[in-house]
Amino acid sequence: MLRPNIGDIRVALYELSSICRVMAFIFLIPILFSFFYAGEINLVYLGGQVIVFVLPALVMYLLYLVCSRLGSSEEVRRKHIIMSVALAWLIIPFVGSIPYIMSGTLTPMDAFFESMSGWTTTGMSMMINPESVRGDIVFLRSLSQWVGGIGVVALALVIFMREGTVSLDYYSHEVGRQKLRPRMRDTIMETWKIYSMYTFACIVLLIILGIPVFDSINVAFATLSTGGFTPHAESIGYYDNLLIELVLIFFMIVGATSFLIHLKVFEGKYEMLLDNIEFKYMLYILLLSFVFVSLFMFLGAGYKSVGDLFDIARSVLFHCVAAITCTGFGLSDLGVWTQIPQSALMVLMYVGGVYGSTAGGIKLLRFIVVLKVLKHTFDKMTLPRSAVLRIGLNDQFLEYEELIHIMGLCAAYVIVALVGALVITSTGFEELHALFLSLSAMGNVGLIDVSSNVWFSMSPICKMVLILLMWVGRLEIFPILILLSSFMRWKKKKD
Amino acid sequence: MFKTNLEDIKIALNDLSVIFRATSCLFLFPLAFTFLCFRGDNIIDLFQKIMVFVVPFLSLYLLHKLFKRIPRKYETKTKHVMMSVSIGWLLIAAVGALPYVLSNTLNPVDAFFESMSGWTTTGMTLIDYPEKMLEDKKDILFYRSFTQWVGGVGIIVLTLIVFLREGTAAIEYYSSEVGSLKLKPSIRRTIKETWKIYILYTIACTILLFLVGVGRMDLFDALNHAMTALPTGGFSIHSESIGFYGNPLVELVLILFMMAGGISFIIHYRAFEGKKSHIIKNIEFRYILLIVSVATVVFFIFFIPGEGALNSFRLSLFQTVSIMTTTGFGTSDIAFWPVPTQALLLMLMLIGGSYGSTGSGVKVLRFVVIAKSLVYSLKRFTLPKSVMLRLTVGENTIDYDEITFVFAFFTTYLLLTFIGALVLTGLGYGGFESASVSLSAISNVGPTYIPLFVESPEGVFEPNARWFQMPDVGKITLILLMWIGRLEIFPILVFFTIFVRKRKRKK
Repeated sequence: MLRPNIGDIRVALYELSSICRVMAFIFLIPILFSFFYAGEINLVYLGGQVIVFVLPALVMYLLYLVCSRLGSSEEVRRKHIIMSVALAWLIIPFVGSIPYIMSGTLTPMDAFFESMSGWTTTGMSMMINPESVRGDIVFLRSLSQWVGGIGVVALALVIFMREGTVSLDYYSHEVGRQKLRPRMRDTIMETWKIYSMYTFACIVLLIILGIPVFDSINVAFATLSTGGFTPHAESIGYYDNLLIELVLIFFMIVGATSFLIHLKVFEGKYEMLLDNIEFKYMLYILLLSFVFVSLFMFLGAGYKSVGDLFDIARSVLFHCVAAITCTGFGLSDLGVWTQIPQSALMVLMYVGGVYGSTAGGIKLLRFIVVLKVLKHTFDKMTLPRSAVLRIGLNDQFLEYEELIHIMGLCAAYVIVALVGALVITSTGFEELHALFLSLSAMGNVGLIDVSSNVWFSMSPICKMVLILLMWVGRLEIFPILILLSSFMRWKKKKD
Repeated sequence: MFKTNLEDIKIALNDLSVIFRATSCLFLFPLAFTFLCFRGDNIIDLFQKIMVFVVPFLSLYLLHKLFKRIPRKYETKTKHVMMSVSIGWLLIAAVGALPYVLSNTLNPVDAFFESMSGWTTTGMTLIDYPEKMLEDKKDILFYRSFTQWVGGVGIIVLTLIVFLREGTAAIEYYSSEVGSLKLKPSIRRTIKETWKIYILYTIACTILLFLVGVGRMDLFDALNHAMTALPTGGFSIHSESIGFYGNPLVELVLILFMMAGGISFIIHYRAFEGKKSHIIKNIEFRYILLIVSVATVVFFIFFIPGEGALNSFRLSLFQTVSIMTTTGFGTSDIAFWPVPTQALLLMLMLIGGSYGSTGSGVKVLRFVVIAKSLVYSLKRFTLPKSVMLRLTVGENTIDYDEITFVFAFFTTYLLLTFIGALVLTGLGYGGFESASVSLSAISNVGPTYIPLFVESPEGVFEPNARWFQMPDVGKITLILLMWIGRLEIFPILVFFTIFVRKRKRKK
């Protein structure tokens, strides 16, 4: 029986304070770029540029002080960490909108949108033309995604993999009895190291392929975090370079693969990757959707030449990867895709990436469980009563509670997406586009299937809804319910 | 691992022979009605009219004979029952299309549609002006309502005898109920009792409707609407449905009997055994009351500005009950309702009626389970590990297999609705419209967000070609959805395994 009290909130605040302190420093990082992009070495001018970052940093530090005062370091339970994370993902984007506002780049509402889109690694943008925006602001945008990405991974590793969840049992079986590093802090540091290494590799490869350094850094940041911001309005379509697309496909998949697996791979155990059931399913689903959608579009549009097939395949592959990894890079306007290909993308966005990666969606692990549940039920109907059936992943049995958690989340996810779509429809978008946008926001993907004109003339209500969906989706719904429930006092149930 | 082969089909068909004999006899009732209401003086006309029913009667009888002869090797197992149920419903609906075709009322595809809509108690119709048939095709109108009436009993019997006894798709909540019912020993007795109660309700409804509907309601009207209210079917002999009468008392009577249809028949049995208190204790009934109340209030708020308090209440309550019980009677065309109300209606369509009632949809009981499991999840996250939690409905704990089934069912249901909606959008219908049509079909409700009548440029209301001339692909999709939804999906999946041969799994 939920018996929330101020005590819970205070413990959550205490947890939050340490996050705030780290954030304060992170907000100062773009200042490096301010120096590069300042037009003149005029101290006053520089000051004006830099204050845009100093202010949020100060606010964060202030919050850290306040929270550590207000908070109590009493017994910390999982519930409190969850609450603090839910709050963090609201407060950080909120404070993070200050740079956009102060630099005159965006209006307050748009700034909050952009900020939330960054920290949740979604990638939907309110900047009509990123090329005309200050370099340091653009960098902040990509940085927010990069940090947001690793934040999600840390979240998954630390919170949801505590004892008793099938993900842990499954993974501990997968990766052998060897536990996660005994100290969570170590694990996170290791993960950050690997993450940075991949990012660096990506930057280097992009530079080699001819992309300017600044662009490379920004794009790489957005790739590994499966975020999707790019410094150009046409997204990756701007480069029109197949090699670049292939490199990005590679790193998108890297970002959408569980970092636990990455940890193992870096220890030399490569086979872990290929044995990982989620990774295999991700590739199967990609292959399936790639072939199906390409053929569908090819045959349906009446294209005749092989060259056309190649173009379609290139576009389909890239967008399918962008969808399932929840990155959201685009090559071309998705609005011209017909209903069935768009629906395929919607399914990919719903499914998402591997658990313990930067991707969104319900995650492949849960999707696989859903498939197994369906098969199990079907088998039960067709086999004799005496057959004993259990649902399992590899050799781990799926326990009752885990089953409920997983199915419950999948159901709740659909419901929230539908409600979101409904509200978006009422602000003027056509129904299926509304559903697409809703799923894109919730899954933190970032793909949009409406034209630019339509997108940028969105109503404020719609923006608010998308912001909420991004937040709710990133946290996988339940943390927010838990947070809300702590603000409500419930009567004690009579026993 | 399943190994289906020809043997299984033979067993299923052989089992079906008994059902077909009974069903063939059913066609004699509309035949008798034709006799009774024949007004002409030409014996050839009479003969032609009667043939319309004789042909299906003979067809089913012949099929019965045919199937009876099929040699079978094994005993009937669960999967055979599932198969026969699937095949049976499809064949009966197909044969049931004959009267419409033979009487030149509808073309074959439309006839199959109307027939399936009848036997599955959906209520979607491709007849734009049923009232035009009152003059010379009264018997066909009667037959149309009759199919729903029988379809209603069919599903109750199916649920009680097949689903609950076989232990598949059953939630223990009711199996224990059924087990303690005095009917258990004999299937024949179960069927007899069901018919008794059902006929009683139908007569009561007819009489009440006739009494309160002074003026526009004659006996034929009353009978037809009673015959489609109880099975929560929704066919009406007027194109404006219940709006035609404009009579709040008629609506009230219908609300009463729609609710009766939407409540599990087990409750009705109990009531007739003398134990009336069961209805209050029934969890589904309580949830239905809750959902109906909330929905009515929401709609009420929406319609007050336009309609005034009393009318708004009347409209809200009637439509809520009609949609929730998956009947589909209308006092207003929901296609013209504001979008938020339409969203809520979709929710109601999805939830449906009680388990073991004539209502369809996912069923209230399953929804209760899903809702409770979400709460369970939440509690599990927030409470310390030491706290013991149980997921219960009433007194029963929901066990592993049940929860698995509920979620699997719900997922498949939504998936099929989605696919149906995709097909329709591919034909050119709007996204929201398509979703509503698809959901309405699979939940056997009837009304959709494609308006039935639209205003022409001259200001006259005429039948909407977008509905009545839907491409055949769309109609067939809807026929399939109605069939699948009525049988709760899984029997049909079992049926389709006939066409799939699987390799033996490596050990």
